[in-house]
This record gives sequence, C-alpha cells and structure tokens, in this order.
Amino acid sequence: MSATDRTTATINGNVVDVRRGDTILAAASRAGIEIPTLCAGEGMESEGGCRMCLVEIDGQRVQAACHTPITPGMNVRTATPHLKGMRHDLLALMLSTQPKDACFPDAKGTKFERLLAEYGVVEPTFGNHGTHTALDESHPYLRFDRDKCITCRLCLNACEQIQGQFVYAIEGRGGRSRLVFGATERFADSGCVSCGACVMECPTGAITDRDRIEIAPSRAPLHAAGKAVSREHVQPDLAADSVCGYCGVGCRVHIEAKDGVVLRINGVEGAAVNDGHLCVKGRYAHGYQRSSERLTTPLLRDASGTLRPATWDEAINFTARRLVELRDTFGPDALGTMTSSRSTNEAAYLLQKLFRSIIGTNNTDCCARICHSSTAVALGMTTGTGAATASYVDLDETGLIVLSGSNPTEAHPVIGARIKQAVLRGAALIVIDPRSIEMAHYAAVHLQLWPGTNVPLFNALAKVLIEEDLYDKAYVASRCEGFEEFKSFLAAQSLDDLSRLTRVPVELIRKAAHIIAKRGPGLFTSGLGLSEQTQGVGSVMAFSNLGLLTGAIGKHGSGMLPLRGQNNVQGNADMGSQPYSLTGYMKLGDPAVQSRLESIWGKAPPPEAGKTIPEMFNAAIEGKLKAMWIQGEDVVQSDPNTEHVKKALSSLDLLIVQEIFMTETAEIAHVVFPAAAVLEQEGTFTNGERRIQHVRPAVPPPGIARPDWEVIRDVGIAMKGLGSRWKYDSPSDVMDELAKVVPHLFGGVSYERLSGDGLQWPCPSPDHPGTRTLHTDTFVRGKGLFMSVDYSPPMDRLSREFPLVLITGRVLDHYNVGTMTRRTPSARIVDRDVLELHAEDAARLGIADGSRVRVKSRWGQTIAPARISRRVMPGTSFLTFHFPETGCNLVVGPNCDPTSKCPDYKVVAVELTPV
Amino acid sequence: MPHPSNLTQGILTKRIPCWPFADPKGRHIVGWDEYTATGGHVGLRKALALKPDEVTEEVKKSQLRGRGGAGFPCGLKWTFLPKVTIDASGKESNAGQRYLAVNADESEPCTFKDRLLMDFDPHLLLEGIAICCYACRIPTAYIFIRGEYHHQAKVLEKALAEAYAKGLFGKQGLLGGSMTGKGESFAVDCYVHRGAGAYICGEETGLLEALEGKRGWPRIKPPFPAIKGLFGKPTIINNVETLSHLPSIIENGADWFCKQGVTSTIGGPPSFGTKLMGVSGHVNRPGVYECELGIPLRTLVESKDYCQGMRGGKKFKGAIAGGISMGVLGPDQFDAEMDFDIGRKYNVLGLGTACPTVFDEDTDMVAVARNIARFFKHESCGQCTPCREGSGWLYQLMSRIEGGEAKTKDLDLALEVATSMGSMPGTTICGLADGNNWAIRTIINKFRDEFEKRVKPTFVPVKMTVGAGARG
Repeated sequence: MSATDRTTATINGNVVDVRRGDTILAAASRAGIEIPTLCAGEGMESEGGCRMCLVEIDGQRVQAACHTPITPGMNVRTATPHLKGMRHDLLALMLSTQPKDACFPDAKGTKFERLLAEYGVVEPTFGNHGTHTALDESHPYLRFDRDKCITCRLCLNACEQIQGQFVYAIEGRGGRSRLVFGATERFADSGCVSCGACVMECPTGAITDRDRIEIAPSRAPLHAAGKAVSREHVQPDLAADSVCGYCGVGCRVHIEAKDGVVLRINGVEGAAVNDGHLCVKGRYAHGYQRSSERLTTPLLRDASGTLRPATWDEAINFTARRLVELRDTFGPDALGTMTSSRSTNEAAYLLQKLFRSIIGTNNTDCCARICHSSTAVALGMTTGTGAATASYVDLDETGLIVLSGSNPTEAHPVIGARIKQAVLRGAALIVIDPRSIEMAHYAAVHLQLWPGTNVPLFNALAKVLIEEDLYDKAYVASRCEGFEEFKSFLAAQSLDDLSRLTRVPVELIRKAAHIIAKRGPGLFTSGLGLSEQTQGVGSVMAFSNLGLLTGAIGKHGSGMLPLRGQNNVQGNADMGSQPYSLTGYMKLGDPAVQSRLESIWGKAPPPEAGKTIPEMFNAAIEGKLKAMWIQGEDVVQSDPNTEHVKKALSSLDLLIVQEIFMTETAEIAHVVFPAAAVLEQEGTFTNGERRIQHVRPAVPPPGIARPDWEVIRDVGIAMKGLGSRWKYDSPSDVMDELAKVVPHLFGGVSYERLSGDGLQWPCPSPDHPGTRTLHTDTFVRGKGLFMSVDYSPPMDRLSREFPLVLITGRVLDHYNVGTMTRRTPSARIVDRDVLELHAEDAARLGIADGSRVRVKSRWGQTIAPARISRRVMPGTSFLTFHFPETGCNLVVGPNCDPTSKCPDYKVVAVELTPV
Repeated sequence: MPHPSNLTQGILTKRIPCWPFADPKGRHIVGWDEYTATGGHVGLRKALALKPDEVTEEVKKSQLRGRGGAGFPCGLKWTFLPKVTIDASGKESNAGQRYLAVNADESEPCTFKDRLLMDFDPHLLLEGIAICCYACRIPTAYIFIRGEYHHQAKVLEKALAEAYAKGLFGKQGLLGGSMTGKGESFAVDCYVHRGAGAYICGEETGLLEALEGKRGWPRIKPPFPAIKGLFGKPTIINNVETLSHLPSIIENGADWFCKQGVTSTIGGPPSFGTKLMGVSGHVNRPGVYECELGIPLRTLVESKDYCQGMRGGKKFKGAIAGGISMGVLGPDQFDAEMDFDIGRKYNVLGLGTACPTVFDEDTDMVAVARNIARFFKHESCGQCTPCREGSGWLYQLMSRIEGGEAKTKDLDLALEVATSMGSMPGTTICGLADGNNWAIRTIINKFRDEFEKRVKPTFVPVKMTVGAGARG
C-alpha cells in the first residue's frame, strides 16, 4: 500500500494523514507507530541530538524523525534491520560513556534502560570508559547522578521551555560535554526552583526526585560505589487525579500512593490549568501529610483548661449543645464563623449555611477578607462580578501582560512560568511593582512605584491613554459608562504631580502607556500588592479603568486576571463566606432569594449584613461576640496585629477550630476538630479562573481525623431543628443542593460533569459548557463603570520615628504561614524569614548583611536577619511571614481598606535598628 | 592529461604576488588607495548601476560555486531569500532586516587559502561583501573570522575602518551614497566578529549561533538560514573566497568567468573559474596557488610552476583531497582532476576547500588516521550522540591500532561505527561526523593493508613522518 494522494504519507506501510507542520515523529505517534527517542519531549522544540529516531525515506537520505517535516507521498520506514543496527550502536555508545552498571538493560527500568533491553544491548560494545562521580544529593528534592547522564538535554529544554528558568547548561564539547547547573558545582547552589519538570523528562534516572526513592518501602541494597539504587520498581496501590491544595492556580495533580503514603505527585498531562507542570510546593511539599504532628483525634478543653482527646460523639455533641446555648442566650449575632479557603467548597457551603440558617446570622466571613476582598469588591462594582474576567489560557494568546502587585514566579509559580513563556514567545510585559521581582527582568518596562501609590500611577497611565487618544473609543462609547466624568477628573490632575507621588518618571509612564496602547488589549494581572492596602479597592478600580479604556474586558486574550492566593479562596467566596452577600453573591434581603433559600434551607438568613473578621474580633473584645468557628486558618499568625487577635479569641466563650495541625489559633480553642488534609478528602476547589475541579482522596487521614464537611454536617444534625433535615451522604449531594441554591452560576454543575478539567462558572444548565470569558456581550452590571478614584495616602504614615516602608510577602518555597511547608524538606531550602533592605539604607543604619535587625512599627516589633538586596528600593524593606518565630504580623497594624476591610500588609511604617 | 592553463595573471591574487606569476617576496597589505588605483571597486560600481536582481542574475549565470567546501551555486543560494515585490514603477517593497554572514572561520586542517586573501588584499573581500549585500538587499554584514586569525582580524578591522572613512560602508550608502539601479542609495554596515576557536563555528548554522552569542551548535534545518537565519532573519552565508570572486565576475561578466575552469565530464554542474589551492605536505614548494579548476593533482604537485615535485624525489602515496573531512586520494588517484567532480569520480566526499595535503611513500597512514580521529574527537560539538561518543571511540580505536593492540575485528567495528556515525548525511545534524567518517573510511579502505599489518601480532613499527598536523 502506498500513499499517492496529496494529503497522506506512508509509514511502515500504514497510510497516515499529513498535517501541516507535523514532523514524521508526530505523524507516526498519531498513527500509533512508535519510533524510539531519547531527547524528544512532549510540547518541546525538537532537540535532534540523540539520533535514535532516524528513519529511512524513499529517495532521501536517512533523516531524524523528530525534526524532519512529513510531506505528502513520503514513504517512511522506521524499523529496518539497518536502522535497528544503527540504534543498537548508538545505545552501545551511550552505555559505554558510563561507568560500569550505572544503567543496564531492564524492561521495567527507565526509558533508556528499556531501550537497552529492547535492542539487546547487554554489554557496552565499546567498553566502559566513563569514570565514576559522586552522587549530588545537596538538594532536598532532587538528586543528580552524573554517571547516568547521557547529555540528552531534555532536562535543559524542559527547564527552559516549560519553567523558563535556564538552570542547566552544557559545558565542554564533544565527549567531554557535560551537564552543569550554571556556574555552580552543587545542585543546591543552582538557580533551580525545584519545579521538577526535568525529572519528568530525564530518560535515564540521572535526575531523580529524592522522595520517590526514600519513601519506597523496599530499598535496594547499596551499590558497590555507595549509591542507593532502586532496583525494585515500586508500584503504587492507589492513584487519584485531584487538585493541588496550595495556591489559587489550581493545578491538576496525579497522586500515586502505596500503603497509605504518598509515593509521588505529578501534574496531569493536558490539564487546562497546568498541562503536566507543577511547582516545588505542588509536586514535592507533601511531606506534611505524614507528619507526626498531625492532629489525629478531636480535642476538648477540660475544666483544668487543658485540651484533652475526646471521641467524635463527645466533641460533636458538646459543640452542638454549646452553639445552641449561646445562640439562645445571646442571640444569633453573638456567633460567627470564618470558613476556610483551604478546605472544599462543600465544607465552606455547609458551614456558612449552618450559621445563616440553623443559627441565623450573617456573621460569616473568610480569609479572602485579608487577601483579595478588595479585588472582589472593586471588580464587583466596575463590572458586576468580583472575579477574574479572563482565564489562564488567555496568557497563551495575549500580546500584552500588565502585572501589578503580583510576584507570580514565587507566589503562583505555574502561572509565573506560563507568563514567562508568553514573554519569551514575544508578548510585551509591563511590571508595576515597588520591588524588582524576577518578572521585572523580563519586562519591557518596570514601573518601580513607591509603595501605596498604585492609584496615582494607574490614573497617570489612563491620563496618557486618553490625552494622546490611545484608548478604544468604540468600546468605551458602547460598553462603558462614567467616562466623561472620569475624563474630566483626570484632566484636573497634573501628570507631573502624579509622577512625583509615584516616584516614576513621566517618560517611563508614557512609554508604558504607549506599549499598552500598541500591544493591547492585554491581560491585567494583579495580586495582593494591589488589594492588601488601605486603598485596596481604589487600586483595583483604577486598574480596571485601564482594562475598560483599552477594551480588554470581555474578549479572548485579554481582561482582568487577578491571581488568587489559596487553592479555594475563589470558591469560598462563591459559597457565601462574606457577611454582606449570600451564596453565589446573591443579595441579602432579595425577596426571590429569600423565598428560594427558605424552601431549600428551611429558613432564610436575616436581611442585615453581618460582621467582617476585624469587626468580629472587635466585637469579641467588647464582649458582644461569644462564639467563633474557625475552619482551617491560623488567624493568630496570619492576621495583622497579632496581639489584638489573640486577645479577641481569648475573650470568646466558645472557639471551635478545624485544623490539621496544632496551630497557635488551635491552642486557644475550646474544641479542636482534626481535619482531613487535601490529599485525604473528596470535594471541589474553585481556582482563580472560576474553574470548579474535583478533589479526590489518595491516602486516608491520620488517626480518626475526618473531612471538614462531614463534621459540620454532624454538628448541624446534632443541633436538631433545621439540622435534622441535613441529609448529605457525600460531598456530591452538597454540590447538587448548591446547584439549586444558585442556579444562575452553578445550575449546571454536578460531580458527573467535573471529570477532567471541571467547569468554569457561570454554568447555569447541565448542557452549558462553562464560561471562559465574562462580560462578553454586556457587563453583568450592564455597562462597565469607570471609577474616578483620587489618591489617598496609606494610613501608616512615615515619620521621623518610623522612616522606612515595610512590605510583607512570600517566597517560592513556603506557603503562607508555613503550617504545611515548614513540615517538609522545603524548610531545608528556606529555613527562616529574612528582611530585605537596600544597601543605601543598610549603610546608613549600620546594618550588615546577615546581621540581626529589630523591625519596629507603631504596632509591634520583631527581629529578623537582614539581607542586603537590590530587589527593594532605597527607603523600603521586605519581610516574609512564613515562620512563627519571626511573627511578622506583630509589626503589621490594624489599618485596612475602609470598604473591603482588607488589611494593609504592604505599607507599614517601620524603624530598623541593628540588634 | 595535463591541464592547459589560460591564466597569465592571478584574478583573486591580482594584487598578491604568487607563483607562477610573481615572487611572493613582494607581498604587502593592499590599502584603499592602492586598491582603487589597481582597478578596485570597478565591479561594485558596475553592480550598483544595475538592479539588485540583475546582479544576482549575473552571478547565477556565472555558475560560481561556493568556495567554502560544499560547492553550492552561489547565485542560486541568493534566490532562496524571501522575494521582494516590485511594483509597476519599479519601486521595491522593503526587504526588511537581513544579514550576510561572511564565513571567515577557516579552520579546516590543511586549509589556508582564505587567510591569504585576508592577509594581503582585504578590500577585495569588502568589495565582494558590498556587491553581495546590494544584490541581496542586505543592510548588515558580519565577517565571522576564526579566533586564531588574530593578525588577519586586525588587517580586516583596519581595512574596514578605511572603507568606512572612504564612504564604502556607513549610513550614507554604498560608495559615498552612490545612486543605484534601484533609484536610491543603499547603505550597508559591516562588522568583524572574532570566533573563539571552535572548528564547528565554521559550519554555517553553528556560525550563526556563535554570532548570536550562543554555543556554536549547528541548527536543525529546516528552517534554512535564507528564510530564518541570524537573529531569526533571512541570512546569506558565503565564504571569503566566494565573495572575493564577485568583483571580477561583475566587472568582466559571467561569460568571461565561464571561460575559466572546466565543465563536468560526468554530467554534473560545471566547475568554472579559478580556485585558490593551498598545497601542503611532502612537496618541494608548498603554498597557495591560484589555478583554474580542473587542474590534475599531479600537475599541481609536479609542475615547476607550482609545487615543483615531491620532496626528496619520493613517490606519491596519497593526498587529502581538500581539507581532511573530504577523505583521502589513494596512490592510484594522483591524476585526479581538482574540480567539483572529484567526489563522485574518486570516492572522496568532494573537492572541499581544494587544499590538498600530499603524502609521500614513507607516510604512516595509520598515524594519519589516528591524528585525524583525534582532531574530530576534539572538535565534535557534543550535540549528536553518534559524533559525540563515536568520535572519541574512533580515536581510541585508531590509537589502539597504531599501538598494535587491536584485533582484526576492531577494523570492521571501526567501519561499522563510521557507518552509524554518518556515512549517510542526516545521521547527525551537521556534516562534522560525516567528515570524520569519510576521512577514516577512505583511509582504511584505500590503505587497508597497512591497517591489517598493524593488527597482526607481528607488528613492526613504521617510520612516522606525517606532514601537516604531526602534533598528534
């Protein structure tokens, strides 16, 4: 059989389709014909180095299938005796570069070893002339065995083309070429961000994950050279596709476990969010799950004031009884809850429902209060929906990314890598950040503004766009309102004044505006740098003005794309964890909603708004709030003004905490429920692009710990009354109820539809495919609203006593207050909080690099080691909040945005003194 | 069959005294004034009066074949650049950024012909560059010169400064902003970029990588450089000698050029023009000679005009055809004609740089093979497995044979590896492994008895007097 028409070719006698741009390898793979390769990676550019994929083509010379385009009529043979002989010799050559027994034929081994077995390369025909080198085990997660490396460069390409980190290089040439980690000899000293992309690609086992071997129950005998070699092929007994439990990116993970222990976590290939990629936290930081410090049994505070173990019945009945007593004694508004953005939608939904219906109060809030509440409020006002209008896939299609107040390569690494790849492909990047973050080095323009001056900077950009006639007039005219007012508001401002406030030169502002106009419409991506400020809501509004002006919102490849902090902070807010609106952002007191909730919940919530978290803390201190249920959050460590928080919690008559570890918050509690962690329970998470994804358990929880939603259900039932109607056998039942409660957003969502990449809300009906882009035809609120926001300076004023600005934030290797990541080998990568400050300030204050510094604000003080860094500008400093020993939040004050109540973590006036 | 030479003076070596036309003692660096006074820039002026496509057409008509080794037709290569559109009034669309990369990375062992041009007549090359840039609408040219050519780089840099000062290059347009056949002046910038000493950077795409500041690793083709080359832009890569031919071709016309050299006797494309041939090895007068293509090797070696016979009256044993990657000519191939047919007629890879290294009867061909293997092992870039690992292994094996430690089956293994390494182009990304294989394979095949003697236990050492590269 031969292919003679213009659309097909023949491979080994099989007729295959010819698609434009396809290589022979791709066409063969589609036709199910395997051509051996050692240097070709899925989705990566052809490397062409290993030459294993050589094929014979009629009328042509031998060609490498991986980089030779297939053309119509081609007749290709992939496995002739001649080719097999060549492959045999190639494998033998590779094997002979290794010391004896580094790799050997093994049908179950690595890809290289399987090929050795397949081609019968038993002995290195050309002799072993590799010399043995020591195993590099300097890195906590990755190990490098140079003996096994065949210099295929898949690791190098993965590092560059997936992560964009450029850690690896080839040193030397010819037979002396070897893989190096930049200029460093040890893996641990390299620029590696531990994403593990190289491990996934390595065909020989030269780069491996340390956890994979260390956890493997059967350990191989030590190699003669002193190396641990896993001769046993550890097979998982359980595998589950789930969702990562760290940040709001929501990567899909494939978890493999054996004997109740996580064996390895990989990204799911082809997943919409991460397409197989993960970061150090998602892939490796799972060791906390089997920590001996996990809470394994319910705890109740006894008469002597100590927490003692209790049975579930005891704990649930006690909790139910006390909640009912306090409600009946002090009224429903004396009780409040904080649902967790780390737990599932189902748990958050049930907990707010318990408080809104069984107890009857709107005192339900969540940690989004202290992160993206400003974003939700602001986008709610300007567009009608307080969520991302765009999706991550838009990053691949956009020509412009404006990144403000977000450090994605550390806080959202998989999206950070995706942004980096977009920029490397040619998208323009504008970074607006007081710090010179990694992405600033990739930016066309870095507007290094003074902390807290986002509003004047965005106004200045808008002013240039309008005055130079660079905005999308048709879009503004047809889809927006408030423009004329906005225009005259800006006309009254002087660009020089705005430039002076922000400390960004006018020319740079103009340059950025010109890029925005020329390369847009683009994606406006923001993080907590915008929202965690006293002018948080204003900052996001001013940012959204830019989206409206450039006609970015409601189109593919552009829009507002705030990066959410926690795995389920979006979902938690969706479930109704805010005191001023209901599940699905439905209005309090709306008669239609009231009646629907009454029919489903049995009782409608009160029409008055409840208290936000800071208000609940104040009420507790005033004695007006008697009980709190805090689900999965260490508020003592993470909320600002630590002493105030502790005082509030200690004033309560009843503090219920659902946790996986004995946190500082749990230590004050009256009841502690041990919770199942993300790897141990079923439910759903909603990521930052509104994507609801299915979370599935891979390992059992420790001891008698239980999933949050089950405990809440049981407390509800035990509270009798409305709770008696709570019949949920599984989280799926909770989702089905949610679909009825908020039909316009979740009407079409059910567990049956959540396999694979899940659904992006709104998804109003069972046949609706979900929504990638919001506001496509009209804005949810009708028209996009321009907001004229005037600058108001941060509340924490600099003074002679407190002359420097402190910005707080995170690093790559740890997650929030570190409850989980501090209990993993990540603690070996970063083992303390560090205060970054500029060399000028350090010299003036007499602070040496590495020396201890007292950080003092109007609200408190702490001590941290200093690092002199170019990432911060003179007059500013930066401190992370991952370690309780530092207690970073002792320094952060009670200032917050007046509307969203989001605390100002980003602009704190401090004094730095050497200790 | 001796080749009758029509030449009465050098063409490329018009200003460089060479045997048989002049005594090399009179060599000196030709400056701008001397260059123009001796007929320089006539070709360029003539080219500028034409339209770019007319220049290309003339070069195509001359059938000038690349002098860097592969012999690809120069004019044809130029036509692979993206086409510009020309409207009814003759106005051209903007061709955009394109580059000319001048391959002056002359690193092939035994090859030293481009060096002569750069040593003494740099303005000839610069004129050639200007003609090529005009014909191909290229605004930027880089001369990528071998790192070891310190002196030549300095000569070029000085000549380039002179050319800028005199208005050949620079933003005012070629030759002081002369009006061109396009109806406007055409500006070209030219730079000298020095390599860092890797043979592989002479491979055209390795050269582009090195120019971009990266490791000189050859690129996967397609895309070809004429479509996506330096910095992702359309790029022409031409050898120094090729470009140096352009002024005389344009000045005298393609027909004049086609009168020199020979047509193919085997139905292939012709070998027109003169060629610089750098002869080294066991001859009485080694050096660079400008000859018409087609001159038999025997004539080149034995003629009193050229090498004046074998050194010490010894017998001819063999020769490296033209740069070691071309393989060797055997004792019975002394009459081989030095033209582009040589590959197919005498079982070598090709004419290469036409710089033969001649071996006399005392030469130890095993040592030659070992030395060649060592070179390729040293210069393999490490990108493709067969070359990276195979070249090292071949060197080990050749050393073993030379040392008398090898067995007969090792010889067959050597040929087998040579086969998987690149007997067929395509086995590796670039031609380096191919060159290694051709050299080793032709030596073993044409001198197999010498190798078989070495692998026998009754090994008797042979006196070793390798010519070029006895550093071994």
